[in-house]
Amino acid sequence: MRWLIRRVLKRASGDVFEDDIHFGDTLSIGRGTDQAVYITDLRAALAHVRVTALGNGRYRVESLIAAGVRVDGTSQMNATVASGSSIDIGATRIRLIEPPNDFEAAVEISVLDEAQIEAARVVPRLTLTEAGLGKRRWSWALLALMLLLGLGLPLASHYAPPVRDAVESLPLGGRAVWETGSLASAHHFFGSDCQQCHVDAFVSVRDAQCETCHAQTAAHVSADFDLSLAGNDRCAHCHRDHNGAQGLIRSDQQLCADCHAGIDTRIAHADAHADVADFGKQHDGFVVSLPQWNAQGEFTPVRAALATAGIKEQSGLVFPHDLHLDPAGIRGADGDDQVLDCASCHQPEPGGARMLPIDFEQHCQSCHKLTFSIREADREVPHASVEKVGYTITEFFAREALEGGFNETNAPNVVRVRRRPGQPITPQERAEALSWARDQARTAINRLFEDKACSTCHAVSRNAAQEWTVAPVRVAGAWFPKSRFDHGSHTTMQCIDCHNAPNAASSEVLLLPDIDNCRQCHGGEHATNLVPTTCIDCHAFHDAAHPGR
Amino acid sequence: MSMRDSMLSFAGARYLWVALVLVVASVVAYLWHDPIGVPNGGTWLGYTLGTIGALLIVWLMLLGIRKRRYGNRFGTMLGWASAHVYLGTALIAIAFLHSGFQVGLNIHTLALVLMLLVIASGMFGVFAYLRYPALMTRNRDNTTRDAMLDEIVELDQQALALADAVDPKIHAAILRSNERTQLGGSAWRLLRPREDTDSAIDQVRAFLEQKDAEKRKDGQTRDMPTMFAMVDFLSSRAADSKNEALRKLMDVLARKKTVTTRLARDLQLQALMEVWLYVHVPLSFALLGALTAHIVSVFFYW
Repeated sequence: MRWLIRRVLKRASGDVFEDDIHFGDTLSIGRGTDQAVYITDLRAALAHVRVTALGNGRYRVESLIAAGVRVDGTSQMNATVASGSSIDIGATRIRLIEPPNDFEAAVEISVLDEAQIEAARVVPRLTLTEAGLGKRRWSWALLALMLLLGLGLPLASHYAPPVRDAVESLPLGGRAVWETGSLASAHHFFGSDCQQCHVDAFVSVRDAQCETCHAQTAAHVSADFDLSLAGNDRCAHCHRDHNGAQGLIRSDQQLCADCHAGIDTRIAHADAHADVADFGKQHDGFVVSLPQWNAQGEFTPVRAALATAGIKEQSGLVFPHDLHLDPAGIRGADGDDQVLDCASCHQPEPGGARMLPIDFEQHCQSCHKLTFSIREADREVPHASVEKVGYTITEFFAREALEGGFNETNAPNVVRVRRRPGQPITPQERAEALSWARDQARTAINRLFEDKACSTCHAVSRNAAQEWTVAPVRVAGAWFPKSRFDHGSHTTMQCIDCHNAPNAASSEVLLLPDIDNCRQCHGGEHATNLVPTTCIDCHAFHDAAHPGR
Repeated sequence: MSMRDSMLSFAGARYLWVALVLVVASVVAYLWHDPIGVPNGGTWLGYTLGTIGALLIVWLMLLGIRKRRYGNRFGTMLGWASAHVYLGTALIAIAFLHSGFQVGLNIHTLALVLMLLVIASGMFGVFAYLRYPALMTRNRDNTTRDAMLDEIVELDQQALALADAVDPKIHAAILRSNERTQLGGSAWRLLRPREDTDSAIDQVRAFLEQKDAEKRKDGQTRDMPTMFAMVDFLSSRAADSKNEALRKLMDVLARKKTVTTRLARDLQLQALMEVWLYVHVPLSFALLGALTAHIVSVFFYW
């Protein structure tokens, strides 16, 4: 194989070439005198490089020392390169060139001048910037990425419905990244459709959007109260969504206290009892609805504070709790003493919140018999209106009189004689008998109402026409129509803890506990050693449909 | 150096107090505030703290502009850096109080996380600026980086010349060592430098030991196990030029090792001092983007 070795000698007049021919498969390069290309530079090893021509202008370069050889600027142990590449050893550059005619391989050897050495020198990268780390392009890239994810894609979802599905199917795409918190559970069914509520950009959610669904929601305040007087009355001012599954309906006492604390100083004619901020610290005593009837006999309860001096319950009923709860017992109709307790009469409703109404037949009649005749001691009048009681007794004595055989010396003969079946009675006898019966009935009715039965429990009187009247009775009603109380959640308590019935000598004694009693266990929302109790634990928000209104 | 203000002690740590007052005032307001529902960014206090936080972030990022304006007389650079450090740290409290400690998988919390990462990288920066300049000064020992680079080139030349006088194998080892002594390079290599003079020293040592063995075979039985003893031995015997060259070579290599080690350490310290900025600055811009998205989005869907 014929190698052309061309040395380039730099002269002032220009470069001069000095050609040489080398025969051999390989070309050895080094500082040794036995090398085909001999380099005097100290940075060359004695045998530094071996170059093999592969034909077609390609060369294989092999370093013979562990330091490697610099081919095209990089240090390598082996390289297969095309012609045009160069090997640098110290200040000597050996270019592998396209062999001219008559040669199979060719190299061109030149000595680098200062400028070339400087250019060939590997500039050490001594700082992070030189090492390729950058701040600027990363900064712009991350800024752009954040604006794309945080603004670009969500805005595209908002303004361009056609691309919305595509954008929001991306893992970080669309308006989901804007969501500050989970929607309330009831709103999840349209949760991904932001514009159901957020109609216009940069405008707070309007009430009209709420009312799209909530048109039937009961009014929160009575129509005669302007809620805007109390401040911001937008729905969303109180109902703030994106606060978790339960976050939409507020239960904190601050909701109420914002307006109610000191309300009497801000709103004219406000109820003084409405100045409330905290159950434990700022809440008036309870106000109760006392039974009362107007002149027409209509039930018109009056509101009165439990703390009112001399407050009495006018239930229309005579019932001394103390007598009935005598631990020694109370004499029953059969002569035996019975020991009663609260549950003997007061039974909870299903669910346990309230007590079932007291029922005469069920709770009273076993002792308080409504008998009226010695001859038929089991016979009782119904626990019903004055008229019905009158009919029952009148008809009883009419039958007695007409049947005859009534063995009483003062009775007329027709009443005393027992008639056989089919035996006729004259009109005169009938009139005499019925007259007697009316007298008997009137006496029995008077006795029943006046001394025997009715007046034991009822206030009984005669009206102008000398007819008996019974005062209306209202035992169990809505004492506290503006609050809720659940007996069922107080089953750990004894009745007597709240209701001092064993010492109530009269039914006028109001057995309802005032707030101090509750405060033994309950405090305000922020109470630490009491049961924290917020307003809506007992009260509903202003509700036009509230029964107490 | 010790008598001068650092960015932590600037003006009697004035900005530490500013930051503390800001944080304490925010905490007091947060505790006193009783918002509708849970504390969040949408209350008046939330908006206030959010505005303070956003303005702080923008102002903190302006440090990058301020530090390029050498002619600026609006406060000293040290004062700006001091305020940057303290008020930047105060931002942690401001941001959490602003959000009412609520987090989620959204752009808002991403902004918070980016902010915390920026602050954490900045804290490493404060550590680096306080610690590494002194270490660099001590390491350089009154020389300069260029002087060290020039000296290494000079020592490489000397080593090659000396090695050539000894043995081709030693010459090749020195060549290899020179080639492999990498100063700088990738960012990783700057932070974890490698230096290869040891392999050359080892090879020279092995060569010496080999010669020693040969000499012992020739009847020289004196036991000289260590390389330094050998060098002494060679010099004390007023040995031939080869031995003289070897001794000098060892000196040159030892000197080169010293210089390259020092230079690599110099580069490493500088890289350590700067590397956090390559996190701090890009993440600041990511934060700026996320913050912009956060602010626009909460008012967009108000």
